[in-house]
Amino acid sequence: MIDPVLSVRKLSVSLRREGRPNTVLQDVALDVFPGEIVGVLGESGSGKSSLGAAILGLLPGASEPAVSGSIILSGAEIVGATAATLRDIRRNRVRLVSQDPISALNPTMSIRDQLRESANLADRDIEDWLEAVGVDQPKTILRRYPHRLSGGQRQRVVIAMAMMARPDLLVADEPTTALDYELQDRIVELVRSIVRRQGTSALFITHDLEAAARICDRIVVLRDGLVVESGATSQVLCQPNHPYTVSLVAARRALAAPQAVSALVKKVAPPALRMSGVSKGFELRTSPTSRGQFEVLRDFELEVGEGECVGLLGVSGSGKSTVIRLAAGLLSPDRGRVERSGDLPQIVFQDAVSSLTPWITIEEQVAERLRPLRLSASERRRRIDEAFELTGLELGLGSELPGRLSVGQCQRAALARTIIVPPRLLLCDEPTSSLDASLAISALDLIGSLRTRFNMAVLFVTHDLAVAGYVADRLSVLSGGRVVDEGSPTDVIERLRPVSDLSATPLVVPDRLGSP
Amino acid sequence: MNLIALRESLRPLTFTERFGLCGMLVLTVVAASAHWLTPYNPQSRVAPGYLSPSMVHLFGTDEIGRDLFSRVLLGIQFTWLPALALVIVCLVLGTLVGVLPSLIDDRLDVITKAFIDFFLILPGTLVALAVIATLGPGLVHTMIAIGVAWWPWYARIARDEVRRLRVRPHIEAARAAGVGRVRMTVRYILPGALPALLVAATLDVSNVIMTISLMSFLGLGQPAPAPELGAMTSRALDSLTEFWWLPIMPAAAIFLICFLSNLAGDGLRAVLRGS
Repeated sequence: MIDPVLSVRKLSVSLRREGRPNTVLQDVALDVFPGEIVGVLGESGSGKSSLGAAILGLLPGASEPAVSGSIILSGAEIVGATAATLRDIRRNRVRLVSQDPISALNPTMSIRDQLRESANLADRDIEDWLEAVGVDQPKTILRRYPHRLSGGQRQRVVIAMAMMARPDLLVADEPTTALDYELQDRIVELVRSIVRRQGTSALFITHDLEAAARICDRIVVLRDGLVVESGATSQVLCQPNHPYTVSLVAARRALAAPQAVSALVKKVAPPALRMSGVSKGFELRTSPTSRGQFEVLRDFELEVGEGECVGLLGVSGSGKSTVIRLAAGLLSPDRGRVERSGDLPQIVFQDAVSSLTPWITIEEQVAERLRPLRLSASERRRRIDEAFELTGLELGLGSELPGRLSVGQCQRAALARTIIVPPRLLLCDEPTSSLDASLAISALDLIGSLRTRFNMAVLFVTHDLAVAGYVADRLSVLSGGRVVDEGSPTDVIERLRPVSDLSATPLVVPDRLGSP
Repeated sequence: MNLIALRESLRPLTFTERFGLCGMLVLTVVAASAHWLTPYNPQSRVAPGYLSPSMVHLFGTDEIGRDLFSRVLLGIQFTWLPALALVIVCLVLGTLVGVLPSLIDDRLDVITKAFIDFFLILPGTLVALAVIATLGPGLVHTMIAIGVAWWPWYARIARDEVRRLRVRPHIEAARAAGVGRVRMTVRYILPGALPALLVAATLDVSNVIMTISLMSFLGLGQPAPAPELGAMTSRALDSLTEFWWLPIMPAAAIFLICFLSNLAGDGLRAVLRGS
């Protein structure tokens, strides 16, 4: 039998957090054989990134990591290795592609110098490598500094940098999360093809079931530091055993299933939101001496009827968040009109955790919108409890600070804040993009049930076709600062999806939206 | 923040950080009660001059026979309390100016920034000299002279912190929830800006002490008999080779104060990071 490149046995890691030891990995065992791509799937906090860091010997020293068990990488033991050994291993045996390419690159060195640093190759070979990862005009790119590169180019450079050292193992830790959604597919594809071509093994760490399914030979599912399931990709996807995996797979499948088109709302009442001819630009420093205008929205038109749920689709950077902020009155348009019926709409933000102020208790934040109403203490109490109940938040959590809550609980708290005084219009800014599939679907269902209960209109902004199809009555597609397509979800999704087989298609907005 | 949370946030402190925080506390108590702690009257002759340190006179006596230990104790009071007061006043003043735009109107930012920058570019020492030339020497005047050039740093930090926090999602969320300006500033923004300000202030105490000592050295501090540590050091500097304790003891006290306040700054940073 062939020896595995990476063999992890009985690995337990505990890190100190705020003075308390905290077990992040427990009895983890996994093997990666030569030429194999193994996916590590888990939600945030499952310990998947700690696993990657442990393999690289890069656990944060400040958290006083306690590691037991064994990690054998091409014959060398990592647990307890000296700094010099680890440095040698990191240079020659294992390389990392991290989440955020901009922080993986040195801002003060040109790309050429950084690539030279990574492996002693001739310039000609460095250019070849850049070409191999799909960078156009490698000669120009090599002269540049990281800040002049686009996100996609940066990640490609990082991948080239990792692969040109010809490592035995590539650890890719969520290599696509910091990228435009349009790019994510291509980067995943690139990792797959280049790993295959080089015959390297790879550990692909992700929270995205689909990305894992697309490139991995085997999948290991992590939850709360424990391996709850592992096996060949098809087996994990088709016959999941552990309830957690079952829920992940089921949730994604539910999202992917075509939705019955909800009855179209009759537009008789004045719309909850009407944006007509809206333009918005931001000032941009193009060089040290000159400034330019970067126009995000140009003659943007959108109408959300009373009680209607409109999905707004677009890739990252297309101006979706600007639409939300304009609609909420946080920004004012340069030209055009934004009309709202009723009071200020409420927003559900992309990242629930960071949308809560860390030093204020959940209850105080949720009750913030009750303050102008000057309620009596008992009435106030009743409203808070009601909001907690409606969003499925335990009452006891009210006195906690946001740091003590899980991601899902933060999501519910953020929702509770928006509906404690039900708004006419709820604006959702990619509320599911940082959640794993099972959390995402419960959040979507919760928003759906609150919407019917309070008859709220919803503007739901997303890049995810499946999510948009799941929640929206009507879809608009945003590209180049204006709406380029509009209609019922089934029609719009039909037009966006490439004609080839539907089930295998990545559920993200395809490329041709990129340019108007 | 409740008590349990405070206790938990204190736990991860290292020994040196605890040492600094406790030391600072002890120092303040000693400084405040220096009058009762001095074994001899620090202002009058109690023994022959130039006695070397002994059990009777712990730090020896100075050129006219005053007990040096008593004088250093009182010197700690004369140096530590003004420095602390100066930093606190500057901190409060600077923070107020820094958060003014967020409190009243964002358009004020241009004016505030110009105002802060104007004070920042003033040559601190020259202004201090001018202030003292106008007002005459004395403790309060020294403090005013230093403070004029000192508060803008805190205003600058406060302003930058406010601007950093304002674009964070949780502040935007609070804005969308209709939180008013005052409440937003006091409850949502200030607690986030406070750690940076407090840490800067704690680390600054030693700078203020050095500056006060420098002013005394230049003869711009308190008049001669006052037991001011910087002045005592500089006045006795020429007897270093013969009567080493005369300049060394007050200098050691300055060192101890600066050292402890730096450790305390680290400790405070650790506490605030924990919470």
